[in-house]
Amino acid sequence: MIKMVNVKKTYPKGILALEDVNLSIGANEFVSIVGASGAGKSTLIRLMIAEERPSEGKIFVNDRDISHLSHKQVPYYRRKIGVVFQDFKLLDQKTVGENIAFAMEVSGMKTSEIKKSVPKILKMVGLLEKQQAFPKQLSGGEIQRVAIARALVHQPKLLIADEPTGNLDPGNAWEIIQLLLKINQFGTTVILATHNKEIVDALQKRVVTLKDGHIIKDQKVGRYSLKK
Amino acid sequence: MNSFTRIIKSGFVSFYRNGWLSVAATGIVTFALVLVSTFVLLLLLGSSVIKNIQQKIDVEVFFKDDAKVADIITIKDQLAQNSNAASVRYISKKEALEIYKGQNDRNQKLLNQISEEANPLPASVQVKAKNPDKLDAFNQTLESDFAKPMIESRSDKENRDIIQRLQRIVSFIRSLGIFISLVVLTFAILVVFNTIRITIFSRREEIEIMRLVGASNWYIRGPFVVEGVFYGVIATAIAMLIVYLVVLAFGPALSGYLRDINEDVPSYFRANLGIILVVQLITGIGVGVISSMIAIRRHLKA
Ligand SMILES: Nc1ncnc2c1ncn2[C@@H]1O[C@H](COP(=O)(O)OP(=O)(O)OP(=O)(O)O)[C@@H](O)[C@H]1O
Ligand SMILES: [Mg+2]
Repeated sequence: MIKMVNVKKTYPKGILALEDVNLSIGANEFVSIVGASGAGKSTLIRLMIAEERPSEGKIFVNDRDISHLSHKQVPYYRRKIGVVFQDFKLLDQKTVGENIAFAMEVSGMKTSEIKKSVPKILKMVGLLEKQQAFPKQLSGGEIQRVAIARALVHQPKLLIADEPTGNLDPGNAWEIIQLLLKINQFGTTVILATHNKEIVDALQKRVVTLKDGHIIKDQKVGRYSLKK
Repeated sequence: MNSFTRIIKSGFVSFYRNGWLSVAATGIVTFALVLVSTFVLLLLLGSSVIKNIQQKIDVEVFFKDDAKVADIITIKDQLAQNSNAASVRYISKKEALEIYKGQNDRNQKLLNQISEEANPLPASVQVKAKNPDKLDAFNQTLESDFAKPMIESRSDKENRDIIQRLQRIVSFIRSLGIFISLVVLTFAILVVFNTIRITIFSRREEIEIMRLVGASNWYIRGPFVVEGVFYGVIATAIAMLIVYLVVLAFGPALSGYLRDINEDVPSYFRANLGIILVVQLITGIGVGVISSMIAIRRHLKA
């Protein structure tokens, strides 16, 4: 589903974020990407959603090279993948329902269709009763679930979650992971970037470890350890 | 609702949320439009005046007092045979006086000074031309050795001077109009551009999220272009009203001034209403669209 070949990413002023990245992720996998802060996890994700372009190398998603997508094609590409951002990227002045609807409106969905879909999606993440609430009125775990709900609006085949358990207590964090596992069981590839050792160890799934912009480990059933 | 109505609605919301800023932007666009249409009106009026005068040019040939009536008649007959002559009329000194009296019946004092014995008015031949652009056709007769010594003056030359002067004025107004319009339009674009930039700034988070969840560039750009178009359309409505009121107020005076060449300015304006409206709409919407496109450009990098 995703194939990265010799990818390198340098930010302006020569900051090296990723180098020699070769990574292949198949359909229906559940992959954790781990690494210390600044290792390059978010950068890897930004490359996958064409928010940034690789300085070198190629990135294929469904056999399509996305490093050369035109400005016109990028929006359509993004509608096919769900992304949960590290900083949520929800609009504070819109309610939970409106935030979800916003992502649907943008793709030109009809209002009547949106009205029907929003409650369905909120029900999936267990937030139906919070539809009228504003993000500021929600707990960390609830906000995280709103972000996941919004990522699901286009029923993506690929869901990428950047640090979705960041500031959550273990109980809430585990609920979020259960949700991601459920989504994975329904046939969506899930990529999870995280620091959370307990979760990664408990998951018993594939783990890719990043260090200073390099992949230092890629284990089928991995554990969280930042050493080689 | 679909994307189109969403874009329109969103653009309208920014328009009224901007409050005074929208008023200022609309104001400057209105000012620019009034200016542009004033120049367009003046130019249209100017060229129509020129055309009217051109059509009015007849050749009037004034004869010296010592010219013999029989010779004048000969010249008149020669002119009548010219293919460009529509009609030819001989006006004797006496008839000229009658006509003059008829025109100036109010100024009795002046009339008393003119008697038939001391008649200062010359005899003349008036030629109405079929084609006013080809008055030179009469030169063959009028510049001949026979006619020339008898002729005191010819009026078509003077008229042509007036036309040339008018044409110079019109082309001056055109250059001035283009220059001033460009300056004011640039200024209007700058103001609208900045207004829309402020809208964009206050919604930058929304724009970023739109991009990330897959909004097309046109969906993002749309509301700001719509906002710009609103400035243009509302400004057009106001400018149209202003121009109309100005024409109502000053038109009659101008018409009086132009009476001799038969220009009724208010009705002339009404006849050209369509052109003015189109000019204003295109200019107003153009300013709005150009400004918003420049303002949003930076935020679209996908
Ligand atoms: N927009 C940017 N411009 C310049 N440098 C950046 C930018 N984004 C990230 N970096 C740098 O690239 C490196 C990798 O950052 P990245 O955000 O990918 O790390 P991360 O693994 O997601 O860290 P964290 O766990 O803290 O989220 C860091 O050194 C960071 O300072
Ligand atoms: Mg990160």
